[in-house]
Amino acid sequence: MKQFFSLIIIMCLVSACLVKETEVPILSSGDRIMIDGVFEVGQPWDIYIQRARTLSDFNTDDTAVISDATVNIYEGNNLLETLSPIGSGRYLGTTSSKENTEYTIEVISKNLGTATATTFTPGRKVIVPSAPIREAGRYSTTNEFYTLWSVGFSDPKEEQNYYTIRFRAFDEFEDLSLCWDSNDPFLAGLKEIDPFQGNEILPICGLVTFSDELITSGIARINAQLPENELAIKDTLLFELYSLSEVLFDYNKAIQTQDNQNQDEGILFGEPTTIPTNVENGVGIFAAFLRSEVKESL
Amino acid sequence: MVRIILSCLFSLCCLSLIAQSKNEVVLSGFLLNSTTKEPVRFGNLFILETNEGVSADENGYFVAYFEDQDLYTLRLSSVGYEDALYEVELLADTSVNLFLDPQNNDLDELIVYSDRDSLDLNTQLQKASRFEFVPQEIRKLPALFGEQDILKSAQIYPGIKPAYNGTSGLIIRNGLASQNLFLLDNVPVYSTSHLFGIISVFTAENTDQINLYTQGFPARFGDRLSSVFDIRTKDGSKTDYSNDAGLSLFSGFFRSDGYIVKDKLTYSVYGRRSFWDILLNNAVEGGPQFNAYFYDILSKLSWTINEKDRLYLTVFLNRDKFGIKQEGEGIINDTLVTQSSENSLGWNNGMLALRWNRIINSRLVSDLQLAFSTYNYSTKLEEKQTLTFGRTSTNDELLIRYFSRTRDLRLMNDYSWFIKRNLRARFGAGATFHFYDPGALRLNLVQNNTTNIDTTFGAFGLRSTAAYAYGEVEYNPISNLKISAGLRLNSYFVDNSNFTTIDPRLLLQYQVLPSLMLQGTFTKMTQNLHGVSVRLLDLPNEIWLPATELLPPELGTQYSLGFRYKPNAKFTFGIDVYEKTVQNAIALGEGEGFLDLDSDWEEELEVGNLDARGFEAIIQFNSKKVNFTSSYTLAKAENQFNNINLGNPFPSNNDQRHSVTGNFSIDISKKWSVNLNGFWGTGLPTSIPDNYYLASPGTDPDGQFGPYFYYSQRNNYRLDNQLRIDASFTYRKWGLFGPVEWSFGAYNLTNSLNPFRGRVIPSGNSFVFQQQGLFGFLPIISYRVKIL
Repeated sequence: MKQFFSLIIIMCLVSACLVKETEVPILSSGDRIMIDGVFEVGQPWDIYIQRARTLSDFNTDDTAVISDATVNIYEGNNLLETLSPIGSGRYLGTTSSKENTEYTIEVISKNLGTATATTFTPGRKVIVPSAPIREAGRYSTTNEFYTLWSVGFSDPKEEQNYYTIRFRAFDEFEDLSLCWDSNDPFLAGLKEIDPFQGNEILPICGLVTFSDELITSGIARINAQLPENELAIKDTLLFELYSLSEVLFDYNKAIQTQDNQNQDEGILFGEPTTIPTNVENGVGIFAAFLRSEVKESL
Repeated sequence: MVRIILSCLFSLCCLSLIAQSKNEVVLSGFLLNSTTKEPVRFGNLFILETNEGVSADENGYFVAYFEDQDLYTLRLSSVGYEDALYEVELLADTSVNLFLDPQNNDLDELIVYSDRDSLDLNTQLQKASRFEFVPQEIRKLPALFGEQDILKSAQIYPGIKPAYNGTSGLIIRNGLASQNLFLLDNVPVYSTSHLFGIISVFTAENTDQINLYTQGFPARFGDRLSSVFDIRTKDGSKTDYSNDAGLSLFSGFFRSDGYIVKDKLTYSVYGRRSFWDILLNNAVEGGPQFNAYFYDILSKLSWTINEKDRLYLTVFLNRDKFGIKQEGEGIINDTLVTQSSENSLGWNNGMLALRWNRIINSRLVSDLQLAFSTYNYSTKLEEKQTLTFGRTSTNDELLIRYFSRTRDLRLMNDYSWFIKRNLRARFGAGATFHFYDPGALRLNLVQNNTTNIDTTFGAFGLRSTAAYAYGEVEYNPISNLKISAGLRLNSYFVDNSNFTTIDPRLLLQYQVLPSLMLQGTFTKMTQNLHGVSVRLLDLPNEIWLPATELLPPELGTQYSLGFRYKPNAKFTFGIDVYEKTVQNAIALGEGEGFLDLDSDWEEELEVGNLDARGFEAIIQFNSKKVNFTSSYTLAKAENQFNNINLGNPFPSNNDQRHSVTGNFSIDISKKWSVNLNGFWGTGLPTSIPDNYYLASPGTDPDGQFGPYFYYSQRNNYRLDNQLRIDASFTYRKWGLFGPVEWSFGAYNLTNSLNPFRGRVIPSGNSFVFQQQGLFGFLPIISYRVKIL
């Protein structure tokens, strides 16, 4: 009898303590034109157009591409060209974009209206590398040798600049498997410390994106410590510098955050990440990057 | 601005002193309960001949000034006491204790009428800048789980909302729950919640008097932005003994007070503990042991050394723990294998305060206090395995313990100076030495009887010091104008940084008509520590972090303007409008699911601003048997963080546009009373993606391809509206040991969901929007007995 009453009380308490839930359909805010327009300066136009759908219409197998839109590119106020659809929502052009130029994209869809976006392309940066210094030092925790490679580039202070950098190494088969990144651009390539074991670990490959607020002297110099034992089978070092517009910088950061969130705990849990857009009457991005690179033989 | 205020105050003081009458006489003393000789805090003393009122302070001490030597009639009053008339002939300065009889006959041991009829209008209007309530009134409200919770009782007032419906965390004028200051006998209490906020540590049984300030904060209060709960505990009867006990769905309590040395040394003890871990462990035999409970212990010793000196020692301990422990053993290949594991989560407060109250002379009173308090939050995972074969045994152990800890040592000295009839000042200074361990992880690994790892890392060992000095005056230049002005100087030291702020405080009250008073306030507040919610078990919990150079102190500014209309003693109507801004508010960054307090904890938080404004209305009717309070709040609150929502303003998480509360209680007879309580509010904001798309991820050829979720802004969606109606019936009778009280009723009669948050979750091939709320329809049963 004692246990019976105990169980009754426990059930009351447990049911009372439970979080109540209800599930309701998501109100549709309507589909929009999505412009996937990240382009490299100097390359022919290559733009993807799709429908951005509401969650009530969720299907990751179907990209909901828009293949029958009219996609116009303007240089300033002048029509540069109308891109040609080649299927799968992809539109190609014959002309190429130039540095330091304003471009506008206009997407006309039969069902979703007209979306436009304007962007200004970045200018090229000159990279000045130093010669790699082999066995420049040892990691404090593993005592392994590292190679120090330093690269520099000018960073005009009269305007805010945004960059993405990447260090990579090639072997004779052009294998790009080795790369180093860090959340701190000035330590790109430096290994992180595993908090549990105290050992160094390689961060996952990816890009490091940063604004030039971190650069104070007008000349950015980035030192990379590259693990010697892993470089032993490589013959070429590659440093890539992407100059970005501000909106692309914000866009990159936001989608990196959503990617990390997706890997860590599920994209829809935690605080939402707002992805910026420069598209009027639509979503997505129309922005340019300019890639510069230097290679160094080992 | 500060200079102007200082100059004005100085001039006013000088003028007042010059104008002092030579014939003036002073009556001072304590206002006491005639039965127990305990102080009647904030009781009222009204001089019929001059039509002037005086209020006692938090210790029951009063000072009344009279223009001439004469015979005067005083009317004393306070909620829960019978009015008393005293005639005094004042020929010289006199010190005397005055007594009030508590309402106390037959079954009224448990009934205390909220009879404010007799209080003079003037005194009531001047108290309009704060909410004052006594435990006896709180006992009338329907209690969730039968727990008479003070913080939930405060929710009937305008601008005060539950952080989550059904919980005791409070959102006051759109501030954060962590921006409320809870002072227990003048010492801050960090965590006020049990059961993740379902009930609070403060009940009608362990408190004596509560004053809630949401605007016009006196300068003696600081270090929080949104509100101050000034909670005083019971001293204990000097002449008798009193005992209470009670049971509710969650817990049982016992309270006792009385004297150790009659008229000199008294005690007050309160204890409460949950009992469901005992029930669980009895119900499930042979299974895991549930180590889940909470308790409170509050005790106080009050020593009246002589007429001038009093010493108080308060000890407060509370703890919540949720743990599960499993043990087992067996024999495998002639080896005895013993295994045990324990997972737990818990938090606790501790406080020890020693206060010396001294009446230096009839016009100057000093309070010196030394206090130590601590707040701990921890989670633990422990696994052990022992293999015993013959005489040899092998131990393997793993312990992972995460803890966050705050310890404070606090010294403060306050003075109350009753300068003259229309001028009173308070001033003082103090310092708090904070010792923080914001978040540390201890890892202990034993393999084959050998300790391989025994280390602690993370963020710990951070010290800071907060010092302050303040001065405030209450001045009545003319009989119907009251000016309460003050300045508080805060200086905060952490690492090598120093933050110094000067917070001006101003409260103006002008009685246009005998029944109508206008009031305006302007206050600045500084908060040197941040409260952060850590999401666990779908409910929030708080960790306290020090302000640092990257996360500077939170700064609040509030303006308000309003009036109180009181045509008669029973009816009150009031309106306030306010605007409040908070600088350096903190929040989790975009994409963060919970706070991971490692050594880079400061970088996981964002610093931004809050801008809130609102309109509040309250209507109250109080008679001997019927009480009615209703309030309406219209509010808007926006946040702006540089790194959240692309730097654009967005609705704050607690931006509830409209809310209405109502409370009605009636004493049908001496045995029966009925109480109805209601709340309605519009939906809280939440974030739902407007669209999703699959896209090439910017310039990263190695990146993902989505899906990516597009939000037009943070908090772009609204949860459903909230509605809650509670009802309770209270029955009183004489029991074996004394009066007995049974309460029956229901919480959330309409079984409404009242969502406090929403999220999008997968459902089949699509998504649905899930709204979460706490507590549907719940019965209320509680039992309370007073042992005479």
